[in-house]
Amino acid sequence: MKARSPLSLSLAVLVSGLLLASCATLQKGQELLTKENLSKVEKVATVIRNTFADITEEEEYYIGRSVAALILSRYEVYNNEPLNRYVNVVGNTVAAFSSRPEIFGGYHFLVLDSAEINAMAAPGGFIFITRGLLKECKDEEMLAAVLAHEVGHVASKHGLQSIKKSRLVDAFKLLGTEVAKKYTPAELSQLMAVFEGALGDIAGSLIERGYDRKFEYDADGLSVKFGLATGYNPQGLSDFLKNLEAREAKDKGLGWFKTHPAPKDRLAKVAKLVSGQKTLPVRDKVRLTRFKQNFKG
Amino acid sequence: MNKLKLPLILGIILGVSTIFGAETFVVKVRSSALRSGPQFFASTVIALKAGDGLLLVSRQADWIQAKTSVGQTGWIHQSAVEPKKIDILAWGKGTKTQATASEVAMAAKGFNKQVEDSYKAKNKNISFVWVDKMAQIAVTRADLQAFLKEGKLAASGGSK
Repeated sequence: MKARSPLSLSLAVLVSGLLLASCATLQKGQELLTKENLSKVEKVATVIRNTFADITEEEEYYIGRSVAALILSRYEVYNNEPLNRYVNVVGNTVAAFSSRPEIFGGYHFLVLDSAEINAMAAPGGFIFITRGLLKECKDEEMLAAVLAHEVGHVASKHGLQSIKKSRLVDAFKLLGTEVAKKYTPAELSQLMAVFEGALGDIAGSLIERGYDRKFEYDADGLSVKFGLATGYNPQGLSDFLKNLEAREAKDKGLGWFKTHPAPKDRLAKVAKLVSGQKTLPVRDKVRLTRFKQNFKG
Repeated sequence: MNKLKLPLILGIILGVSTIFGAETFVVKVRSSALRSGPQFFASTVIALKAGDGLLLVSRQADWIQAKTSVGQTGWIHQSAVEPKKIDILAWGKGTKTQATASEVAMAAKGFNKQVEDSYKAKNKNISFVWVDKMAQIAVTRADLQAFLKEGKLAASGGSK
Protein backbone atom coordinates (compact mmCIF):
# COMPACT_ATOMS: atom_id res chain seq x y z
CA MET A 1 0.00 0.00 0.00
CA LYS A 2 2.77 2.28 1.02
CA ALA A 3 4.57 1.49 -2.20
CA ARG A 4 1.54 2.53 -4.24
CA SER A 5 1.03 5.86 -2.56
CA PRO A 6 3.72 7.82 -4.35
CA LEU A 7 2.58 6.33 -7.65
CA SER A 8 -1.06 7.18 -6.94
CA LEU A 9 -0.03 10.66 -5.97
CA SER A 10 2.02 11.13 -9.10
CA LEU A 11 -0.81 9.82 -11.25
CA ALA A 12 -3.29 12.10 -9.51
CA VAL A 13 -0.98 15.02 -10.19
CA LEU A 14 -0.63 13.94 -13.80
CA VAL A 15 -4.39 13.59 -14.31
CA SER A 16 -5.01 16.95 -12.64
CA GLY A 17 -2.36 18.47 -14.84
CA LEU A 18 -3.91 17.02 -17.96
CA LEU A 19 -7.37 18.18 -16.91
CA LEU A 20 -6.10 21.66 -16.21
CA ALA A 21 -4.26 21.72 -19.50
CA SER A 22 -7.41 20.60 -21.30
CA CYS A 23 -9.48 23.19 -19.44
CA ALA A 24 -6.97 25.80 -20.40
CA THR A 25 -7.15 24.71 -24.03
CA LEU A 26 -10.93 24.84 -24.00
CA GLN A 27 -10.86 28.16 -22.18
CA LYS A 28 -8.54 29.39 -24.87
CA GLY A 29 -11.06 28.15 -27.43
CA GLN A 30 -13.68 30.36 -25.86
CA GLU A 31 -11.31 33.27 -25.94
CA LEU A 32 -11.38 32.98 -29.72
CA LEU A 33 -14.60 34.92 -29.42
CA THR A 34 -12.62 38.07 -28.71
CA LYS A 35 -12.42 40.55 -31.56
CA GLU A 36 -8.68 40.08 -31.94
CA ASN A 37 -9.01 36.44 -32.75
CA LEU A 38 -12.31 36.34 -34.58
CA SER A 39 -10.80 36.96 -38.01
CA LYS A 40 -8.62 33.87 -37.59
CA VAL A 41 -11.71 31.79 -36.91
CA GLU A 42 -13.42 33.17 -39.97
CA LYS A 43 -10.43 32.34 -42.13
CA VAL A 44 -10.79 28.78 -40.89
CA ALA A 45 -14.49 28.91 -41.72
CA THR A 46 -13.64 30.08 -45.25
CA VAL A 47 -11.31 27.17 -45.73
CA ILE A 48 -13.88 24.72 -44.44
CA ARG A 49 -16.77 25.92 -46.64
CA ASN A 50 -16.19 24.87 -50.23
CA THR A 51 -19.14 23.01 -51.71
CA PHE A 52 -22.95 22.88 -51.65
CA ALA A 53 -22.65 20.41 -48.76
CA ASP A 54 -21.18 23.23 -46.63
CA ILE A 55 -24.32 25.34 -46.92
CA THR A 56 -25.85 25.26 -43.45
CA GLU A 57 -29.38 23.98 -42.75
CA GLU A 58 -30.53 27.50 -41.94
CA GLU A 59 -28.99 28.91 -45.10
CA GLU A 60 -30.69 26.17 -47.13
CA TYR A 61 -33.97 27.16 -45.49
CA TYR A 62 -33.57 30.82 -46.42
CA ILE A 63 -32.42 30.01 -49.97
CA GLY A 64 -35.44 27.69 -50.27
CA ARG A 65 -37.86 30.37 -49.09
CA SER A 66 -36.73 32.77 -51.79
CA VAL A 67 -36.75 30.06 -54.50
CA ALA A 68 -40.30 29.21 -53.34
CA ALA A 69 -41.26 32.90 -53.64
CA LEU A 70 -39.82 32.96 -57.18
CA ILE A 71 -41.85 29.88 -58.14
CA LEU A 72 -44.96 31.50 -56.63
CA SER A 73 -44.32 34.60 -58.74
CA ARG A 74 -44.85 32.37 -61.82
CA TYR A 75 -47.78 30.26 -60.60
CA GLU A 76 -51.07 30.87 -58.79
CA VAL A 77 -51.82 28.94 -55.60
CA TYR A 78 -54.73 26.50 -55.62
CA ASN A 79 -56.31 27.77 -52.43
CA ASN A 80 -58.14 24.60 -51.41
CA GLU A 81 -57.40 23.98 -47.75
CA PRO A 82 -58.61 20.35 -47.41
CA LEU A 83 -56.66 19.31 -50.53
CA ASN A 84 -53.51 21.15 -49.44
CA ARG A 85 -53.86 19.56 -46.01
CA TYR A 86 -54.16 16.06 -47.50
CA VAL A 87 -51.13 16.63 -49.77
CA ASN A 88 -49.16 17.86 -46.74
CA VAL A 89 -50.07 14.79 -44.69
CA VAL A 90 -49.15 12.35 -47.50
CA GLY A 91 -45.92 14.29 -48.18
CA ASN A 92 -44.89 14.45 -44.54
CA THR A 93 -45.65 10.75 -44.15
CA VAL A 94 -43.19 9.71 -46.86
CA ALA A 95 -40.70 12.34 -45.60
CA ALA A 96 -40.79 10.72 -42.14
CA PHE A 97 -39.58 7.50 -43.78
CA SER A 98 -36.96 9.23 -45.95
CA SER A 99 -33.21 9.43 -45.52
CA ARG A 100 -33.57 13.04 -44.36
CA PRO A 101 -36.65 13.23 -42.16
CA GLU A 102 -35.36 16.20 -40.19
CA ILE A 103 -34.69 19.47 -41.98
CA PHE A 104 -34.43 22.97 -40.55
CA GLY A 105 -38.05 24.09 -40.99
CA GLY A 106 -39.75 20.79 -41.91
CA TYR A 107 -41.37 19.77 -45.20
CA HIS A 108 -44.20 21.87 -46.62
CA PHE A 109 -46.32 21.24 -49.72
CA LEU A 110 -48.55 23.48 -51.78
CA VAL A 111 -50.85 22.84 -54.76
CA LEU A 112 -50.45 25.23 -57.71
CA ASP A 113 -53.45 26.25 -59.80
CA SER A 114 -52.04 25.23 -63.16
CA ALA A 115 -53.15 22.70 -65.76
CA GLU A 116 -49.49 22.08 -66.58
CA ILE A 117 -48.14 18.73 -65.32
CA ASN A 118 -45.41 19.80 -62.95
CA ALA A 119 -43.90 19.43 -59.49
CA MET A 120 -40.93 21.30 -58.06
CA ALA A 121 -38.90 20.95 -54.89
CA ALA A 122 -37.12 24.05 -53.63
CA PRO A 123 -34.30 23.56 -51.11
CA GLY A 124 -35.31 23.54 -47.48
CA GLY A 125 -38.40 21.39 -48.09
CA PHE A 126 -40.72 23.76 -50.01
CA ILE A 127 -42.47 21.42 -52.46
CA PHE A 128 -44.99 22.37 -55.16
CA ILE A 129 -47.34 20.22 -57.19
CA THR A 130 -49.71 21.44 -59.90
CA ARG A 131 -53.38 20.62 -60.27
CA GLY A 132 -52.50 19.20 -63.69
CA LEU A 133 -50.15 16.67 -62.14
CA LEU A 134 -52.64 15.79 -59.40
CA LYS A 135 -55.15 14.92 -62.14
CA GLU A 136 -52.77 12.22 -63.39
CA CYS A 137 -52.68 10.65 -59.91
CA LYS A 138 -55.55 8.19 -59.65
CA ASP A 139 -54.91 6.96 -56.12
CA GLU A 140 -52.87 7.70 -52.97
CA GLU A 141 -50.08 5.35 -54.10
CA MET A 142 -49.40 7.50 -57.17
CA LEU A 143 -49.59 10.76 -55.21
CA ALA A 144 -47.24 9.40 -52.55
CA ALA A 145 -44.81 8.26 -55.27
CA VAL A 146 -44.67 11.75 -56.82
CA LEU A 147 -44.27 13.47 -53.44
CA ALA A 148 -41.58 10.96 -52.41
CA HIS A 149 -39.73 11.76 -55.67
CA GLU A 150 -39.76 15.45 -54.68
CA VAL A 151 -38.73 14.67 -51.09
CA GLY A 152 -35.86 12.70 -52.66
CA HIS A 153 -34.65 15.86 -54.44
CA VAL A 154 -34.66 17.74 -51.11
CA ALA A 155 -33.04 14.87 -49.19
CA SER A 156 -30.22 14.71 -51.78
CA LYS A 157 -29.89 18.52 -51.93
CA HIS A 158 -30.28 18.48 -55.71
CA GLY A 159 -31.45 22.11 -55.69
CA LEU A 160 -28.35 23.30 -53.88
CA GLN A 161 -26.21 21.33 -56.33
CA SER A 162 -27.62 23.53 -59.11
CA ILE A 163 -25.75 26.54 -57.74
CA LYS A 164 -22.73 27.24 -59.91
CA LYS A 165 -19.47 26.33 -58.18
CA SER A 166 -17.91 29.71 -58.96
CA ARG A 167 -20.87 31.40 -57.29
CA LEU A 168 -20.45 29.29 -54.18
CA VAL A 169 -16.78 30.20 -54.03
CA ASP A 170 -17.76 33.90 -54.20
CA ALA A 171 -20.45 33.41 -51.55
CA PHE A 172 -18.19 31.63 -49.08
CA LYS A 173 -15.48 34.19 -49.66
CA LEU A 174 -17.89 36.98 -48.78
CA LEU A 175 -19.48 35.13 -45.90
CA GLY A 176 -16.18 33.95 -44.54
CA THR A 177 -14.31 37.23 -44.43
CA GLU A 178 -16.85 39.45 -42.78
CA VAL A 179 -16.85 39.73 -39.03
CA ALA A 180 -19.70 38.25 -36.99
CA LYS A 181 -22.08 41.17 -37.05
CA LYS A 182 -24.96 42.48 -39.10
CA TYR A 183 -23.99 43.26 -42.66
CA THR A 184 -23.29 46.84 -43.70
CA PRO A 185 -25.23 48.11 -46.75
CA ALA A 186 -22.15 47.64 -48.96
CA GLU A 187 -21.62 44.06 -47.76
CA LEU A 188 -25.30 43.30 -48.21
CA SER A 189 -25.21 44.63 -51.75
CA GLN A 190 -22.35 42.29 -52.66
CA LEU A 191 -23.98 39.38 -50.91
CA MET A 192 -27.31 40.11 -52.60
CA ALA A 193 -25.75 39.77 -56.04
CA VAL A 194 -24.45 36.31 -55.13
CA PHE A 195 -27.74 35.36 -53.45
CA GLU A 196 -29.80 36.38 -56.47
CA GLY A 197 -27.40 34.50 -58.72
CA ALA A 198 -27.81 31.36 -56.63
CA LEU A 199 -31.62 31.71 -56.71
CA GLY A 200 -31.45 32.06 -60.48
CA ASP A 201 -29.32 28.92 -60.78
CA ILE A 202 -31.80 26.87 -58.74
CA ALA A 203 -35.01 28.31 -60.20
CA GLY A 204 -33.54 27.87 -63.70
CA SER A 205 -33.04 24.17 -63.00
CA LEU A 206 -36.47 23.74 -61.43
CA ILE A 207 -38.52 25.68 -63.96
CA GLU A 208 -36.57 25.84 -67.21
CA ARG A 209 -33.67 23.44 -67.71
CA GLY A 210 -34.44 20.62 -65.30
CA TYR A 211 -31.86 18.84 -63.20
CA ASP A 212 -29.15 16.58 -64.51
CA ARG A 213 -31.04 13.49 -65.72
CA LYS A 214 -29.10 11.37 -63.23
CA PHE A 215 -30.74 13.33 -60.37
CA GLU A 216 -34.19 12.47 -61.75
CA TYR A 217 -33.42 8.76 -61.90
CA ASP A 218 -31.96 9.00 -58.38
CA ALA A 219 -35.16 10.69 -57.15
CA ASP A 220 -37.25 7.90 -58.74
CA GLY A 221 -35.10 5.35 -56.90
CA LEU A 222 -35.61 7.24 -53.64
CA SER A 223 -39.35 7.43 -54.31
CA VAL A 224 -39.47 3.63 -54.51
CA LYS A 225 -37.33 3.33 -51.37
CA PHE A 226 -39.17 5.88 -49.21
CA GLY A 227 -42.56 4.65 -50.46
CA LEU A 228 -41.77 1.04 -49.59
CA ALA A 229 -40.54 2.06 -46.12
CA THR A 230 -43.85 3.87 -45.57
CA GLY A 231 -45.89 0.90 -46.72
CA TYR A 232 -46.88 2.14 -50.20
CA ASN A 233 -46.77 -0.13 -53.22
CA PRO A 234 -44.06 1.24 -55.59
CA GLN A 235 -46.18 0.19 -58.54
CA GLY A 236 -47.80 3.59 -57.88
CA LEU A 237 -44.79 5.31 -59.50
CA SER A 238 -44.94 3.00 -62.54
CA ASP A 239 -48.67 3.63 -62.93
CA PHE A 240 -48.15 7.38 -62.69
CA LEU A 241 -45.35 7.27 -65.29
CA LYS A 242 -47.63 5.27 -67.61
CA ASN A 243 -50.24 8.03 -67.28
CA LEU A 244 -47.53 10.56 -68.14
CA GLU A 245 -46.48 8.51 -71.14
CA ALA A 246 -50.03 8.68 -72.45
CA ARG A 247 -49.95 12.49 -72.15
CA GLU A 248 -46.46 12.92 -73.61
CA ALA A 249 -47.42 13.59 -77.23
CA LYS A 250 -49.90 16.29 -76.18
CA ASP A 251 -47.73 18.03 -73.57
CA LYS A 252 -44.23 17.60 -75.01
CA GLY A 253 -41.97 20.50 -74.08
CA LEU A 254 -44.17 21.60 -71.18
CA GLY A 255 -43.68 21.29 -67.38
CA TRP A 256 -42.34 17.91 -66.33
CA PHE A 257 -41.89 16.80 -69.95
CA LYS A 258 -39.46 19.67 -70.47
CA THR A 259 -37.48 19.15 -67.24
CA HIS A 260 -37.58 15.35 -66.79
CA PRO A 261 -36.35 12.33 -68.77
CA ALA A 262 -38.87 10.60 -71.04
CA PRO A 263 -41.46 8.57 -69.05
CA LYS A 264 -40.57 5.35 -70.91
CA ASP A 265 -36.89 5.63 -69.83
CA ARG A 266 -37.97 6.27 -66.25
CA LEU A 267 -40.46 3.42 -66.39
CA ALA A 268 -37.78 0.96 -67.47
CA LYS A 269 -35.54 1.89 -64.52
CA VAL A 270 -38.39 1.87 -62.00
CA ALA A 271 -39.61 -1.53 -63.28
CA LYS A 272 -36.15 -2.95 -62.55
CA LEU A 273 -36.25 -1.61 -59.00
CA VAL A 274 -39.76 -2.91 -58.37
CA SER A 275 -39.03 -6.35 -59.80
CA GLY A 276 -36.10 -6.62 -57.38
CA GLN A 277 -38.50 -6.56 -54.40
CA LYS A 278 -39.38 -9.91 -52.86
CA THR A 279 -42.71 -8.73 -51.50
CA LEU A 280 -44.77 -5.65 -52.23
CA PRO A 281 -47.21 -3.93 -49.86
CA VAL A 282 -50.91 -4.48 -50.49
CA ARG A 283 -52.61 -1.55 -52.23
CA ASP A 284 -55.37 -1.24 -49.67
CA LYS A 285 -58.76 0.10 -50.77
CA VAL A 286 -59.02 2.33 -47.70
CA ARG A 287 -56.33 4.57 -49.20
CA LEU A 288 -58.17 4.86 -52.50
CA THR A 289 -61.35 5.80 -50.63
CA ARG A 290 -59.74 8.62 -48.68
CA PHE A 291 -57.89 9.79 -51.80
CA LYS A 292 -61.21 10.13 -53.63
CA GLN A 293 -62.77 11.92 -50.67
CA ASN A 294 -59.96 14.49 -50.64
CA PHE A 295 -60.09 14.95 -54.41
CA LYS A 296 -63.79 15.77 -54.56
CA GLY A 297 -64.34 18.74 -56.83
CA MET B 1 8.75 0.45 -10.40
CA ASN B 2 9.71 2.64 -13.34
CA LYS B 3 8.78 -0.22 -15.65
CA LEU B 4 5.32 -0.25 -14.08
CA LYS B 5 4.82 3.49 -14.24
CA LEU B 6 5.20 3.98 -17.96
CA PRO B 7 2.30 1.75 -19.15
CA LEU B 8 0.09 3.16 -16.39
CA ILE B 9 0.88 6.71 -17.32
CA LEU B 10 0.30 5.95 -20.99
CA GLY B 11 -3.01 4.28 -20.06
CA ILE B 12 -4.18 7.31 -18.16
CA ILE B 13 -3.16 9.66 -20.96
CA LEU B 14 -5.19 7.47 -23.32
CA GLY B 15 -8.17 7.50 -20.95
CA VAL B 16 -8.13 11.26 -20.55
CA SER B 17 -7.73 11.81 -24.28
CA THR B 18 -10.72 9.49 -24.82
CA ILE B 19 -12.83 11.71 -22.58
CA PHE B 20 -11.83 14.77 -24.53
CA GLY B 21 -12.11 12.99 -27.87
CA ALA B 22 -15.71 12.00 -27.09
CA GLU B 23 -17.95 12.21 -30.13
CA THR B 24 -20.29 15.16 -29.75
CA PHE B 25 -23.04 16.66 -31.90
CA VAL B 26 -25.05 19.83 -32.24
CA VAL B 27 -28.72 19.98 -33.29
CA LYS B 28 -28.83 21.68 -36.70
CA VAL B 29 -32.59 21.86 -37.30
CA ARG B 30 -34.88 24.46 -35.72
CA SER B 31 -36.58 21.96 -33.43
CA SER B 32 -36.23 18.25 -32.77
CA ALA B 33 -36.38 15.79 -29.89
CA LEU B 34 -34.62 12.94 -28.19
CA ARG B 35 -36.92 9.94 -28.45
CA SER B 36 -37.28 6.86 -26.28
CA GLY B 37 -36.36 4.58 -29.20
CA PRO B 38 -34.77 4.73 -32.66
CA GLN B 39 -38.08 5.56 -34.40
CA PHE B 40 -39.91 8.74 -35.22
CA PHE B 41 -43.01 7.53 -33.43
CA ALA B 42 -41.25 6.70 -30.18
CA SER B 43 -42.21 9.00 -27.31
CA THR B 44 -40.31 12.22 -26.70
CA VAL B 45 -37.72 12.21 -23.91
CA ILE B 46 -36.84 15.88 -24.28
CA ALA B 47 -37.48 18.56 -26.88
CA LEU B 48 -34.38 20.03 -28.50
CA LYS B 49 -33.64 23.17 -30.48
CA ALA B 50 -30.94 24.30 -32.90
CA GLY B 51 -27.56 24.55 -31.20
CA ASP B 52 -28.25 22.09 -28.38
CA GLY B 53 -25.29 19.82 -27.73
CA LEU B 54 -25.35 16.03 -27.46
CA LEU B 55 -22.84 13.36 -26.54
CA LEU B 56 -22.76 10.10 -28.50
CA VAL B 57 -23.74 6.96 -26.58
CA SER B 58 -24.24 4.51 -29.45
CA ARG B 59 -25.40 4.21 -33.06
CA GLN B 60 -28.04 2.09 -34.75
CA ALA B 61 -28.40 2.45 -38.54
CA ASP B 62 -29.37 6.12 -39.16
CA TRP B 63 -30.10 6.75 -35.51
CA ILE B 64 -27.86 8.11 -32.78
CA GLN B 65 -28.33 7.35 -29.12
CA ALA B 66 -27.20 10.47 -27.32
CA LYS B 67 -27.01 12.10 -23.93
CA THR B 68 -27.82 15.71 -23.09
CA SER B 69 -25.72 17.84 -20.77
CA VAL B 70 -28.24 17.20 -18.00
CA GLY B 71 -27.92 13.46 -18.41
CA GLN B 72 -31.07 12.56 -20.34
CA THR B 73 -30.53 9.82 -22.87
CA GLY B 74 -32.54 9.16 -26.01
CA TRP B 75 -32.46 8.68 -29.77
CA ILE B 76 -32.24 11.21 -32.58
CA HIS B 77 -32.09 10.75 -36.36
CA GLN B 78 -28.70 11.61 -37.82
CA SER B 79 -30.29 14.15 -40.21
CA ALA B 80 -31.06 16.40 -37.23
CA VAL B 81 -27.49 16.74 -35.97
CA GLU B 82 -23.99 17.49 -37.16
CA PRO B 83 -20.71 16.41 -35.58
CA LYS B 84 -19.19 19.29 -33.68
CA LYS B 85 -16.67 19.57 -30.89
CA ILE B 86 -18.28 20.69 -27.67
CA ASP B 87 -16.81 21.88 -24.41
CA ILE B 88 -18.04 18.96 -22.34
CA LEU B 89 -16.50 20.44 -19.22
CA ALA B 90 -19.19 23.12 -19.38
CA TRP B 91 -21.90 20.46 -19.25
CA GLY B 92 -24.32 20.32 -16.37
CA LYS B 93 -25.10 24.00 -16.86
CA GLY B 94 -28.05 23.27 -19.13
CA THR B 95 -28.65 21.54 -22.46
CA LYS B 96 -27.29 24.45 -24.44
CA THR B 97 -23.54 24.18 -24.50
CA GLN B 98 -21.21 27.08 -24.93
CA ALA B 99 -21.03 27.91 -28.59
CA THR B 100 -17.64 27.87 -30.21
CA ALA B 101 -16.35 30.96 -31.89
CA SER B 102 -17.05 29.56 -35.34
CA GLU B 103 -20.65 28.68 -34.40
CA VAL B 104 -21.28 32.22 -33.27
CA ALA B 105 -19.63 33.57 -36.40
CA MET B 106 -21.66 31.31 -38.70
CA ALA B 107 -24.92 31.97 -36.87
CA ALA B 108 -24.62 35.69 -37.42
CA LYS B 109 -23.64 35.27 -41.05
CA GLY B 110 -24.67 33.37 -44.11
CA PHE B 111 -27.90 33.58 -46.08
CA ASN B 112 -30.16 34.55 -43.22
CA LYS B 113 -33.24 36.60 -42.44
CA GLN B 114 -31.33 39.83 -42.97
CA VAL B 115 -30.39 38.70 -46.49
CA GLU B 116 -34.01 37.68 -47.16
CA ASP B 117 -35.28 41.06 -45.91
CA SER B 118 -32.84 42.81 -48.19
CA TYR B 119 -33.93 40.62 -51.12
CA LYS B 120 -37.59 41.47 -50.38
CA ALA B 121 -36.82 45.19 -50.25
CA LYS B 122 -35.06 44.98 -53.61
CA ASN B 123 -37.69 42.75 -55.27
CA LYS B 124 -41.03 44.16 -54.17
CA ASN B 125 -42.82 42.23 -56.93
CA ILE B 126 -41.82 38.91 -55.29
CA SER B 127 -44.38 38.08 -52.60
CA PHE B 128 -43.56 35.95 -49.58
CA VAL B 129 -47.16 35.84 -48.32
CA TRP B 130 -47.77 32.26 -49.49
CA VAL B 131 -44.26 31.18 -48.52
CA ASP B 132 -45.08 32.23 -44.95
CA LYS B 133 -48.47 30.52 -45.09
CA MET B 134 -46.83 27.37 -46.46
CA ALA B 135 -44.19 27.39 -43.73
CA GLN B 136 -46.94 27.52 -41.14
CA ILE B 137 -48.72 24.37 -42.33
CA ALA B 138 -48.11 21.98 -39.46
CA VAL B 139 -48.55 18.22 -39.55
CA THR B 140 -48.07 16.77 -36.09
CA ARG B 141 -46.66 13.40 -35.19
CA ALA B 142 -50.13 12.43 -33.93
CA ASP B 143 -51.64 13.41 -37.33
CA LEU B 144 -49.13 11.17 -39.10
CA GLN B 145 -49.68 8.27 -36.75
CA ALA B 146 -53.46 8.45 -37.25
CA PHE B 147 -52.98 8.72 -41.02
CA LEU B 148 -50.67 5.69 -41.13
CA LYS B 149 -53.05 3.65 -39.01
CA GLU B 150 -56.14 4.58 -41.02
CA GLY B 151 -54.35 3.85 -44.30
CA LYS B 152 -52.99 0.51 -43.05
CA LEU B 153 -49.46 1.74 -43.73
CA ALA B 154 -46.31 1.13 -41.66
CA ALA B 155 -47.81 1.04 -38.18
CA SER B 156 -44.83 2.53 -36.41
CA GLY B 157 -41.18 3.26 -36.96
CA GLY B 158 -40.23 5.78 -39.59
CA SER B 159 -36.76 7.07 -40.21
CA LYS B 160 -37.55 10.15 -38.26
